[in-house]
Amino acid sequence: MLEVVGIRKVFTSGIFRRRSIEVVRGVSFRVHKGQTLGLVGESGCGKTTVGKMIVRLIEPTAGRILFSGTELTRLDPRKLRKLRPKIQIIFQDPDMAFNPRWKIRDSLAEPLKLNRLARGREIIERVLELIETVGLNPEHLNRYPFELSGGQLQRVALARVLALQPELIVADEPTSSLDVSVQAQVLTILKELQRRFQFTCVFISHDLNVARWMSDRIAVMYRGKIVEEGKTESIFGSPRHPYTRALLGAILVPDPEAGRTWRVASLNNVSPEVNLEKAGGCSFQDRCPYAEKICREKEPPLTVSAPDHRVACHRVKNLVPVQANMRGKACFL
Amino acid sequence: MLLEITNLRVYFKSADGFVKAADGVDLELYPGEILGLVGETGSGKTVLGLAITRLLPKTAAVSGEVLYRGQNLLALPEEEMRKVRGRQVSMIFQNPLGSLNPALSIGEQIAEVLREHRGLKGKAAWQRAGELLELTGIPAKWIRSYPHELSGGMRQRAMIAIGLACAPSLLIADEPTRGLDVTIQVQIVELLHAVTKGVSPLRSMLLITHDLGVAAALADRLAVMYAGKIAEYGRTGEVFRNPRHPYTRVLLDSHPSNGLVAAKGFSPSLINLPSGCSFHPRCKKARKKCAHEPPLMQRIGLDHEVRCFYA
Amino acid sequence: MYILEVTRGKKMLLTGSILIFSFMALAVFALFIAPYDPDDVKVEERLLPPGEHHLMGTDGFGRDIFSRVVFGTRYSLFLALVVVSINLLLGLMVGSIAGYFGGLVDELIMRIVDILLAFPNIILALCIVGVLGPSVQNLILALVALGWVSYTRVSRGLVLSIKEQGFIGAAKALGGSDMYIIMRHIIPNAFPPLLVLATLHVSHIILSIAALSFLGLGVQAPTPEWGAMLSEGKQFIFTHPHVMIFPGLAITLSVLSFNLLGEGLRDVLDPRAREVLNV
Repeated sequence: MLEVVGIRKVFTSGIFRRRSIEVVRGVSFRVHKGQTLGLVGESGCGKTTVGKMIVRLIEPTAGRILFSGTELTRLDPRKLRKLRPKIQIIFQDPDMAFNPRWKIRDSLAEPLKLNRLARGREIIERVLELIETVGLNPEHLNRYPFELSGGQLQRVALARVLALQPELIVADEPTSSLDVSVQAQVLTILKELQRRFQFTCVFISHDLNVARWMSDRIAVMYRGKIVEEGKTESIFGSPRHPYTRALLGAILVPDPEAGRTWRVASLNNVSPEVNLEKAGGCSFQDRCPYAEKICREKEPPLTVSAPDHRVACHRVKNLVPVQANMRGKACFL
Repeated sequence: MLLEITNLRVYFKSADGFVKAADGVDLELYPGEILGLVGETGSGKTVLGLAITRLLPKTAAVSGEVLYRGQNLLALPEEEMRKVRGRQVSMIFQNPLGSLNPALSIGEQIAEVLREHRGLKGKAAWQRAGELLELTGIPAKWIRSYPHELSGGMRQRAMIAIGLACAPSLLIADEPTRGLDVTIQVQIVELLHAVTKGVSPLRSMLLITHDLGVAAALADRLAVMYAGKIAEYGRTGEVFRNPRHPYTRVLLDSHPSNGLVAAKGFSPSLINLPSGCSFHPRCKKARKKCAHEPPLMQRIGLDHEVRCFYA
Repeated sequence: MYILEVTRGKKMLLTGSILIFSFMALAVFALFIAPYDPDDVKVEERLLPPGEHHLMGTDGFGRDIFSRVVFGTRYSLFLALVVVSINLLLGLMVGSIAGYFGGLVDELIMRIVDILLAFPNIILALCIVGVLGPSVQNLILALVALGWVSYTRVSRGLVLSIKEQGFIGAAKALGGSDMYIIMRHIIPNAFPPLLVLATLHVSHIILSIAALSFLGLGVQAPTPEWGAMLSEGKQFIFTHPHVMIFPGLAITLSVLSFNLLGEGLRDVLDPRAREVLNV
């Protein structure tokens, strides 16, 4: 359905003194129809850039993106415009996702008009139908974005995307700016709509627990690369990469009884002394408590380390296996 | 008792009526204790922190009592209050990038507090600033770096260092972990634990947060706030194990680690609160009485109070 | 805090609008308001002080100053508005293109802008009119030549920040073309702050027109333009000051009213003002 093969993105700045940074350094994954892939990582790991490249808001520097067998990266603009409505994105900050001078009604009608999917009376009917699909009232249509709460706006964003009957939705941290109780509402709706309309989803999140709840598979990104990828149960049941383990261990569970395991989980600080681009080797070496000589010399490839479970770590065989408990917290040794 | 808040009300006047950001809040904080003030956007928790330190804009109408060591902060002259803020109570704001002065190095910003409130001079202030940075986990050689040169986590550490500069007995931390990566959050939680529970005498902290995980990791007692009022108040373990207010239940159930169970409805606007119990339109247990009569805080355990008729 | 600013802004806005509205009315109904023909020379009535028959007195040619000030509104205000509108539209267009497309286009446009900004405004205007000869067209040309630059700069900045907002990306993903996005999303959001700038600029342009006319390089005598009137009256400044005072007052008042309007607009449109209640 969606296949991403070795995509890279290099951002350059400056006309005379060009400086470039490689934000995405060769990412490959596959998402099957109707399924959800959770793309997890911390800020700056390149997960948002990957999402934007899939919907073609950013051109990849290299690599291929295939959607239902069509290669998006080599499509001529006319064909791409035809395919575009089928691939949609929901952004992190709902307050910014709407033209502040437009009523909700106009924002919801925009995709219909732009793609000539409805006209006149039909538009009004479709807009009404859409707003109800996401659990809001028709009265919300006459409001301006600043009059709605973040959770309500994110629902409208969802409705706006659904207007195009997309086959793939990239959800870029859709709830990270929302309160927990609102987050639960929005994600429940997203999941329900996915069941109903059968779209494929790339769910980008920094929160492993949220991604776990949403996704069939999880890919953990660190500094522009996928370091671990596999079925959700497999990732949570037996996380292998030290970074995934650290992420899991860093989750603060709302349970004072859980013991203050967070103490053990902490990583080394990012050390500014190590210039990773020059140094070569594993990009996690400076923070990894298990780093050895080989980690500083050779970059570990993403290899299968268990059935349907890939990890990029030299030391994965030597690490003590961990058992995760039911709440998603890994117990460290 | 270090801090005793009685019947605190903070209203803002607006075109559509009064915004009741805090509506009759009672809280106590014992020496050496961490009190977690938990609530969602618009619950009034940030306003409460600002009311204690009297940093609210002048348009806010504040009434009630905030007794700090028996002294009512709300009645203190501004000059005296400035001394309290400098030497007794300090505030760690959310969004460190916005709260730090971008034109001064972090060392300079700490030294400034030390000179102003602790009477340190020249080299002594500078040296102490370095010590404070080390204490919060920033290498002292970074003393001359500017806020924009630091990562989000480091900036938050610098904020905490500034907060600690005047050796306060009470820290008010407003969303200290918001916007940080999970691995960094843990480090900040650890640091906050160290500077409160790891010093002698113990330091008190009012921890304002939306994150139940952070509250669980740090707080001794918990106050759950909803629509300007305290909904549930008690020992952290007790509140988490045995939540009695339906809203506390909602908060816990909708947490990602607990399976994201969605509840109905939205938080009400503070201008137009529902009659009776402000939670009743969203409450599963609500009965007729809840729509008419505002429930009072009632004691249901040794150290556990709930604002609900049917707790 | 901000609530106060809003009401203060509203007051300024109201005062400014009323004043400008009055000026507009003077310009439109000049024919009915002015008691005399502004160009009617009566040597026997020259340099009369303000009085019953001549509200503001008469000038060195015996023309009624009140009538000339009223008709002058047409030239001063109209010219200023034309100049500012051209500047605004040109600047917004060029700035939007530079900001939206970025890269080499942006680099090129902004370097040109930088060069033009390095010229002293009034001196370049003097040169242009000096070379091309004084006329209304050349006056407009001179004031546009550099005027659009600051709008380009400001609108580029605005567009750069608007461009980064989510709704632009959303519109793109929903199938909007570049032109559609610029016209429907970017320009409508960049316009209000520019309008504030433009309003504040009107007064600046009024002054420039008056200055150039005063120097004899703008609107030519006997056209009743305020700056030209000042110039004609300067020989009487000590003997018959009213000849200069009234056109001077008209300039001051119109400048003041546009400043009030601009600052009022700025306070009212300030997005912070809306956030007052989101405690």
